[in-house]
Formats: sequence, structure tokens, C-alpha cells
Amino acid sequence: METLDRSPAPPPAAPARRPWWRPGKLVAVLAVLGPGLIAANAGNDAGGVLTYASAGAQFAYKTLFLMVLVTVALVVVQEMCSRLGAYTGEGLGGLFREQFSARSATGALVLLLIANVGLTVSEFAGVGAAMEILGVSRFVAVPIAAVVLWALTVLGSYSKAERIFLILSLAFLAYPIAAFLGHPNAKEVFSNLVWPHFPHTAEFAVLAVALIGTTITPYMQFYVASAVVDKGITPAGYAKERVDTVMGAIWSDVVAVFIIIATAAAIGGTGPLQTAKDAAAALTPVVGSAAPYLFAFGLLGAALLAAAVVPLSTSYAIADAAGAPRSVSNSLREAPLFYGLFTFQIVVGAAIALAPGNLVALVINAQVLNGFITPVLLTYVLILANRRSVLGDAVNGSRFRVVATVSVAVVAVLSFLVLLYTVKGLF
Amino acid sequence: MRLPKLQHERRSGARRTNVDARTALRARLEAHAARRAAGELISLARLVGSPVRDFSGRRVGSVDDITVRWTDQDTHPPITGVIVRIGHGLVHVGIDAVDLHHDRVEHRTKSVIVDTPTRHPGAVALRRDVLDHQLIDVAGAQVVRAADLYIVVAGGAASLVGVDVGVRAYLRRALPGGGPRRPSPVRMIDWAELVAFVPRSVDSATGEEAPDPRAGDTPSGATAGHPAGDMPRRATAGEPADDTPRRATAGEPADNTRSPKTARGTGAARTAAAGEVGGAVRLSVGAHELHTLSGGELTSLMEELGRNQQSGLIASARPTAAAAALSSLDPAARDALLAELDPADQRRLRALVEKESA
Repeated sequence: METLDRSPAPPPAAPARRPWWRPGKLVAVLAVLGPGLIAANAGNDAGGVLTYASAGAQFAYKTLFLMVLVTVALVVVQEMCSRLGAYTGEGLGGLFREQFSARSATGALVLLLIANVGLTVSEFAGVGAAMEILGVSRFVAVPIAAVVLWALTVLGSYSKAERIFLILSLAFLAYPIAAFLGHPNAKEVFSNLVWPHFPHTAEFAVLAVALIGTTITPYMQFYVASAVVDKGITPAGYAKERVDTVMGAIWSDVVAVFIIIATAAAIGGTGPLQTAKDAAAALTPVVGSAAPYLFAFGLLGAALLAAAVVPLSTSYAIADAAGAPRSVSNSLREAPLFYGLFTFQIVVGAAIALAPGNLVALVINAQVLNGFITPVLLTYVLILANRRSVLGDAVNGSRFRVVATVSVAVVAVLSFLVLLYTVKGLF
Repeated sequence: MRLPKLQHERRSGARRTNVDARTALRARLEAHAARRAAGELISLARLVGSPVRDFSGRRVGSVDDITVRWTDQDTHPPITGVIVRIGHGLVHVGIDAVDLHHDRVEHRTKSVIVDTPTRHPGAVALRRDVLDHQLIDVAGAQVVRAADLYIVVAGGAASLVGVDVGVRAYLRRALPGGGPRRPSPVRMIDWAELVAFVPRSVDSATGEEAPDPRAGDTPSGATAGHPAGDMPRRATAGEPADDTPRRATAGEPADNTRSPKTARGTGAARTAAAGEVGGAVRLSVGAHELHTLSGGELTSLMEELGRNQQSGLIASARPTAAAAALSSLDPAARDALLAELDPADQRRLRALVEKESA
């Protein structure tokens, strides 16, 4: 066989250093949990918590039925992504590149980048909001957080900090307790959970899209597929993973529902959330006057955790699709696309979060942006999961296909309606 | 066939920090040769979708794909034919019947034999199986994705010579009006230095995995070997009784060469479209080159590969290197990978991994 300029066989190398960050290694201390559970709970980030709290503050319990519908859609979507990861052994970025035309795949990845930049903005806004509760100006806190996160990530010492952020974010587990101690109107809660009580207003529609955007966020779809691959889950072991994914999606939304109920019981009907400190009122039944601090630490942990992982996840997906090096074990020079995208998201996210104005409104707007983009990316996922050439016998069955299509269609229609409201409002 | 080496990036070990005059001169010569060679390269990305014209110059369809045959004898796989889209149907035309140009394919003779495209051992459809898919650059010890594939026609024969893995080549396809009409490869890698993954063959008649007659020197069947037979093979599944390849003449309407409806309706065509079995892969001809990789390099490669590709890689690597790479994995991931190998390979690698761990 003729070969060109064959380099000599490389000398035996020492085992390669395992990168500390891989899609499936978001939370080392929760490694015992499956990717589906971790991925779904990653959705309860700073943007999610503030959006759920705002829903409770503005519309009390009226968004609960929507959350039930969103949970069904989340289960369907996460399961499809998880299955794609298990059966193809590839993340969504790579699958998009292989299965769609170059233009379609690029369009999807650009949308993912936009959505996740929005998400990164909301995470840094979360950092700012949390630090303002603790008495530190966001104009000081956000730039420092951006520089520290960037340095920790690029220098490879983020893994220990990640655990601290995670422990801080566990403060939000106080919400289920707060939901009970806040003495919500049980009849009203039950009524709103099982039957829609949707106000026919533009404000409600916008918030509904924000709730969809923060719950079925594109980042989670890409994350769960990569995490399943990274954890080495095979088709043979997928049955167990499916349970984990479904339970994770349900648990994630149960926490979200508790956030809405606790906030509604404390400040329901008072209008849109103005500051993050208002949201902390929901935790007062649990810790009394320390509620703002508990909330601030929780928000800070969740925000810092996601502010690094979301840009990393995006960079990973895009570099994967581009066939470029995409590991944090690479140097800056070896992986310019990967680190360039990461840096871009951190810089833009932090810069926009510093813009004057209401931080909570900024967070909600970022979730609305996610809500617009989500149905587009869901369509790609649906197409992949419907392709026998991709999934073989694990392709969507006819019933699942109907449920998945309806879920995506409902999300798309709602987003379209809000878009119409928005455009109409401009004229 | 020798191809000018345009740019080759090594991931580790040999990164040059000082470029001396000799190296610079060589780089200039290579760049000059590359520019000259680039004019002779036919870009697959550009060819796909280009018109297919009959002997009289009339458009009869468009290029859907290009097929090659992978053998141990050919460093650069010979092109075996063109899959032509006619309406909603696909037909396969042997390379002997057509001329490949940068922006079109022309029938060489007044009449051509067309056949139903089907996947079988030894045959690979470049757009479907290789373009945009992961490849292993063995010399560079890195995983890349094919942004474009380049074909050269020389001495009356066409062959696949190189792969462009650059982002610019991809953007040329992704952006509207993105880039020059002629290919301008920047990060091209000689095909001989690559290992590709392709789906295991599907027997078009039964829809089951076709027996792969390849035999290799690596632990499992996931390796290169010998060609299965001639291309194109006629499809049988769902075919009408008369499945003889049709002869089309220049004056004949396109849909008389083989009815698009017929082509679309055959089981073989559907199988070709589906084309693969549950993500299983085999490795291309250069698989034995993987023996040059160390355990550390295998580990790095595996981090960037999908699991199906990982198992193919492990199966074809030097056992001691494979064991070293497996040792660095989490136990669950290692077991999952081993479970996809042949039982004999599993036993051997498990023993080596235990020895390594000890």
C-alpha cells in the first residue's frame, strides 16, 4: 500500500489526561444519578428559578396546568434525545452535521448559539441579582464572576469550584418545604393543576413561552444526548436510562411547580417580579428573615454553575459538528474554535447582563428567546428520532410519533402566537 | 498516486516551534504544488446536485452521490459510479459510462446502463457514508469531520484522493454563495492517512446484515479486507421480474432509463436510502494503520468519537494499546465498549486490562 510521508510511529505515550469537563461530568458529586435526572435538574438554573417565581408572583397558580403540559412535552423531548444518544453514540451536534444538509445543520447550530447566549445572559443576570441581595453591586460582581469562570475553565481548575456551586444551588430544595409551610390555597392549587385557567392576555402568553423556553431549553436537549453518550449507555442499557430520563424530567418540573406554588402563596397576584429579593419572600416560611440570604446563595450557585456549563456545552456541540478539537484538555491554540466560542459567550453574556435595567425582566426575556428557538430545534430532534436510518428499531413508534409531533406543534403554535402579539404590539 | 501534502496538523509530539528556511522552502513548494493540484481536484460537495447530461447535452437528472470501492490494493479508492437522481428516483450509473467534471457529469456514450443503487460489501457512497462523518487522521492522531472530498481523474480512472477537514470548506457549503467555484483546499488530508467508519452492509434482498467477506489481521471483523464483488450489483428485493439493467439512449426521455417510480418503489432503493444496521460500523481500508497508535493517542481519539466508532477503533487497534485506552475509561463505559466486541476479543482485552491495572 502506498502512503505519503508516513510519520514514524509515535512513541508510547503516557495515558492521556482526562478532561475534567465532559458533557456527562456536570456534577461529579451527583455521578451516581443518571444523565437524564441531572440534565433535567440542570434546567432549574437561575433563569428557571426566576421565571417560575415570576409566574407565581404575577399569575399565582394559573400557570400550573401549563406546567403539567410542559412536563409531558419535556418527558417526550428528553426521552427522544436520550434515545438518540444511546442508540447512535453521538451528540446532537454531530448528528445534525451528519444527518442534515450543511445549511440546515448550520442554521440549527446558530440558533443553539443564540439561545444559549441568551441563557448565559440570564445566568450572569442571576449572579448580579444574587449579589445585589448580598449587598454587592452587579457592576462589580458580574465582571469578576466572568473573569473567574473563564480562568477556572481554561486553566482547568473549575471542577472543585463546580462542586461548591452545586452545593449552593441545593438551597432551592427548600422550595418544596416552603410550598407546604406557606399554606397555599389547596383547592385553588388542585383546581389549577387539573384544569386550565389561562387568562387571555398577551402578558400570560409571553410568560407561557418563557416557561416553555426555560423548561424545555435547547441546552438540556443537547446536554442529555451528550451525557448519555459520555456515560457509555448502550441500547442494551437504555431501558434503565429511559426510566431515569422520565423521572428526571418529572422531578425537575415538580420542583418548578413547588417554586410557583411557594411564590404564589407568598406574593401571588402582586404583578411581575421586580427584584430577585421579592422572590426570596417565598422562602420566609422555611428560614424566616434569612430567606433573602438562602435565596441569594442558591441563585448564585445555580447561576455560576450554569454560566460555565451552558457556554461549554454550546462550544462542545458546535466544535463537534465542525470536527474541531473540543476538549478542555486541549490548549487554547489547539482548540481555537472551542475556546473562542466559550469566550464569546462569556463576554457577551456578562456584557449584556451589565446593561442598565431590570435584571428579572432581562432574565425572562432571555427565556422568551429560548421559547422561540426551542420549537425549531425540537423539529430537528423529532426528524432524527423519526428516522429509521438513524435509530433502527428504536425509531419513534406511531403513537409516540403522534404525541411528540403534537408536543412540538403546541410549543411552536404558542411561540408563534406570542410572536404575533409582539409584532402587533409594535404597530 | 501521490498527492501534495497541503497542510497536516499533528496533535502532539511533533508540533514545530521553529520554522527554518528549509522548511519554509518546502512549504512554498508544497503550496505551489497544491495550487496546481487544486485545479485538478473535483469537489464532491460541488458535484452533488450538479446536472447529469446525456450524450446530446440534455439534462437527465442530478448527481445524488458518488460510489467508491474500498480494497486493500487501492490506497485511493477508485470511483465506481454515480448515483443519479431522476425526479424522485435514484439510479446508479457505472463510472465507465460517464465523465466527471467539476460541475457536471456527462454520459460518455449514446446509451448507458443504469442500475438500481444498492449497498453491498465493499461499496461506499461518499456523500451518505463519508461526507460530514467522523474520520480518524491516523498520522495526526486526531478525529476530524469530512467537510469535502476530492476526486482526481487521471489516466481515464477516477479516484478519491483527499479529504478537506477545514471549517472554511464546510462554510463554503453552508453559506449561500459561500466561496469560490473551484475547490480551494486548505486543510486537506491524503485519504491514505485516514480511517473512515461506514455502516455495515445491508443485504438489499433480505434487509439483513450482509455477510462481510472481508478478513483482517485485527482482533475482530471490524476491519478492512477484500472487496466483495463487482459494482454495481443488481438489486433483487421488491424488484420486478425483469431486473436486467436498462439501456438508455441519448434520445430517450430520462424516465425511460429506469422509471423513477420503479426506482423509488423498490425495496432495494428504500434499503439503500435507509442503508445501515443499527449504527454498527466497520473500518475502511487503512484500519491496520491504527496499529501505529499508542494507548494515550487511542484514549484521546475515543473521547471525540461516538461509541459505535469507539468499539470499531478498539477492535482494530493494537491489543496492548487498546487495553491501555480501555483502562483509562470508567468501568461502566469500558464494559459497554467491551460488550460490543467479539467474545474472544472481549476475553483477551479484559485480561490485558486487568494486567494493565495490576
